[in-house]
Amino acid sequence: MERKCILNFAMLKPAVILVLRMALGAVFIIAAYGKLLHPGALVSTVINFNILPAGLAKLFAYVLPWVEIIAGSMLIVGIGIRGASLSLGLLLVSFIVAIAINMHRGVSMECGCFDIFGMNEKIGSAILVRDSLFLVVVIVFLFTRDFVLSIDSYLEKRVR
Amino acid sequence: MNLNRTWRSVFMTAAGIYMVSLVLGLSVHSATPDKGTADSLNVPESYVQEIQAMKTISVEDAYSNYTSNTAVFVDTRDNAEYREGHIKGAINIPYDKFQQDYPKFKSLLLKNKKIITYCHGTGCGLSVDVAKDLGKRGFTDVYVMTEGWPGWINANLPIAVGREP
Repeated sequence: MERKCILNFAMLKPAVILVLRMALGAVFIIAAYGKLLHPGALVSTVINFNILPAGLAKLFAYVLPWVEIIAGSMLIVGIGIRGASLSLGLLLVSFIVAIAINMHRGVSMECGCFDIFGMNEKIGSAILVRDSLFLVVVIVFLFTRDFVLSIDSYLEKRVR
Repeated sequence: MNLNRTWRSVFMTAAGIYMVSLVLGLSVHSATPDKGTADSLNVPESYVQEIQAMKTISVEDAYSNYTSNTAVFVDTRDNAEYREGHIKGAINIPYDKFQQDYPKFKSLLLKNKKIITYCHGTGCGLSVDVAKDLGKRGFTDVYVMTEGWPGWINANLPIAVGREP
């Protein structure tokens, strides 16, 4: 009985990873799209977080949506998945730290996470939890060897 | 050995993503013309530094203060722009007329409410200047609404035209 459960989980795992990969990729592409639509608002939001020096804050705002869109697309297409996960993981850590610092300061501000569909989320525990869950998922990806329906696994099989 | 090679490729991929993003981000930034609007990327460095030293407030939070009547809004654009449209109930103190207009509105500003200054949105320093002038007069609860007038009208919040109050 126990053996059967383990077998089922093992069979299910690649499918779960696949669904999470597609979902997370889509989430980051949507987030990037909103940011690219409103570049000025993004610069303003990053400045308002009041963590990076002025020049770096602007640079972060220019680079951020592109990392999201490239890494998100790589997750969906299935190429360089672990590298894309590492780059998204670093972004998520920076979001979590920045939000936590501003919550500690007692600042109420927009997070600028999804500047699309009229979403104006404010920083808070809910966003911290969401970003932490995303971080857990990318860490799982980072330590996953085989991804179904991916160019990575196709290439690896060819090398073997 | 093989494990190290795998991880090296992971790090290289991540570094590559950041490098390509840096190039794309800077190229798009330099190709974006200065539209002089809230969505312009060409925010002057001086503004960035000034805004970091100020307390800022989002349109959403400013609107909460508006509905609870716990803030005085100060429109820092010029008189003509103010008359064309402003946040309902806002007073008009153009940044270059602060010295002469301040006595006129002093009683309104001294109502122990939050003071929220605004102008043309991101990159506009007029609201920062007036907030600093108010700070010099001893007001501590002063906030700059960085999204400014464009942010307020984009959110379809209450406005008024002409002179008031």
